[in-house]
Amino acid sequence: MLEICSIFIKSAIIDNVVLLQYLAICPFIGMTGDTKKALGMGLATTFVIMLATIVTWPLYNYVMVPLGLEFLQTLLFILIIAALVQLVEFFLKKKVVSLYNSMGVYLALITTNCAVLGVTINCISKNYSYALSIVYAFGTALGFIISMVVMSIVRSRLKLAKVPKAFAGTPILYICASLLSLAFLGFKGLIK
Amino acid sequence: MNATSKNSFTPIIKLGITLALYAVAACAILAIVNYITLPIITANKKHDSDSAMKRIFNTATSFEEITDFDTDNNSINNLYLAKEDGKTIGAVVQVTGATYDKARIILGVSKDLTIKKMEFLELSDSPGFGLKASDSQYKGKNGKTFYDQFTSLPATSKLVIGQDIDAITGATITTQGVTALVKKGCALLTSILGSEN
Amino acid sequence: MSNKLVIFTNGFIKNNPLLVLNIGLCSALGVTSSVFNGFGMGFSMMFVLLMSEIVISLFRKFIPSAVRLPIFIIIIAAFTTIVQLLLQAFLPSLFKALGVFLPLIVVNCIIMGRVESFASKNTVINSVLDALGMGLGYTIVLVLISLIREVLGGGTILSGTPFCLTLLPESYRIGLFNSAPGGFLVFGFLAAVVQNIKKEKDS
Repeated sequence: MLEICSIFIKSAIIDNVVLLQYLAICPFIGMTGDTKKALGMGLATTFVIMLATIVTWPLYNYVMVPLGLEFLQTLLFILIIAALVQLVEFFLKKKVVSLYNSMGVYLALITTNCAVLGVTINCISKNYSYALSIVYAFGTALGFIISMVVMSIVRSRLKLAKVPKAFAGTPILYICASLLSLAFLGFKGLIK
Repeated sequence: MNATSKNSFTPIIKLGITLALYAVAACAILAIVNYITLPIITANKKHDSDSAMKRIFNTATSFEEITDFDTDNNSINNLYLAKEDGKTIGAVVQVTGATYDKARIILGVSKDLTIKKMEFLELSDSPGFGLKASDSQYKGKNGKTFYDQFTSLPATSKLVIGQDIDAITGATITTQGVTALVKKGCALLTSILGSEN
Repeated sequence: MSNKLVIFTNGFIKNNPLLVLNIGLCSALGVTSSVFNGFGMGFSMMFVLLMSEIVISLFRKFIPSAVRLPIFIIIIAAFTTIVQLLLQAFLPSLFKALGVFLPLIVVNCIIMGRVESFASKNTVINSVLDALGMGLGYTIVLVLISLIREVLGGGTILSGTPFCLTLLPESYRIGLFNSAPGGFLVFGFLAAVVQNIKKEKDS
């Protein structure tokens, strides 16, 4: 139980996927202009991360390893993720059209989200059990949502601030990310 | 009716076959590259662990692998008896597990059930914090590197942090994780060496 | 001839994938704590980009549009795996240092982006030039970032190779640059510099 809690907190906050592991930066910079969109993107990505982990873990441990096919890991994992994103797109188009329309092309870009593939690969390389992998995936996804929402709130404040001309546009976002990352570094001592 | 449904099927089948062809070609090429590189990769790993074993038991003349031992998952591997001129002088094993990130250590226990030496084969913790555990330049309170602290401790010791083991400041989890790995290895090696008698 | 030069230099400043187009960022921050890693990642990515653009440009008439994305993924993933295996066999230290970012080359938006927008519609020679240009632009930025981060943060240069030199004594090193916030900071400043250069060029 303790291990599950510590992995959850670790993956969500202490090793935050965006701010401290450098994954999923593209949507972090690209989709945080609007808090609602950021939250929507976060939730859709969470769904894909969970499904991807649930499918790839048994595939790797029960099919690929016994057959000696570990070298196909990159290829098979990314194809599974691409297929899952297609499924999610299909599902959203039919059931939640408004979200589908507002996300546009960024929905398909979840496929290239480093965090999704990163989580599935990390679960294998860290030798987590199935249950721990799912906890890790959920924690990471939660951390992603947290960082997306926080960044979108920061950006809305940024619109009213005096940004030096050289940094206007995207460079200032990286400086903000740097400060956020510094703040999250403070959590390192949380689990002793 | 039949003609129209056939018409809407054939393009999909053609697409599917094209996709499958690309996939099969890719897998075939990867299988070839894997076939070529796998022996090199396995040889690299074996060389690394062989030289590590020699560093732990430098007087050993041969190593005998033990493959039938009780283990819960694949975190313990490369269990060898170190022999000098046919007589067992100790045992050595590799233990992998979670520290702050994860670590792979090689641990040697002498026949008299004291820890011979412990070394890090892999450690991916944070530089400046947990990574200090494998740093040969880092000297703890007792003047030793972190991994040298374990040398000459009894293999049955409880390895209490604060008493037997000095923790690294700011890297408590790494300290706890590594100590747990050493304890796990010691437990196995003690039982192996005990049954050797 | 000048058209080919335009294609080649496109990825250096005007459309630098990292600093201008803001794609493929994950690896730029994740592996730039040392110059050796930065170089290694840059060249690995360039290899995958080059081979993928060549193959996709060669086969562009045989890739049906409806399934082009899965086919692109298959080809890019195949070359990524080849790089993984080659590095694991011949440069294991670099392989371990790059960690999870090596297989993540397959989801590098730069490769997907160039393959979709350029290689699938252009000749092989032009695709080669585009790949080399974008790859070099990417590698140069990576090396620049890792130079700053390694020298100021670790005090060394080229650590991890036999040519390692220690430039700064321990008390002058700024630990910030080795860690995550430092990476974002250096990147932000570089992005601002390039943005300024572009503004002056355009005006």
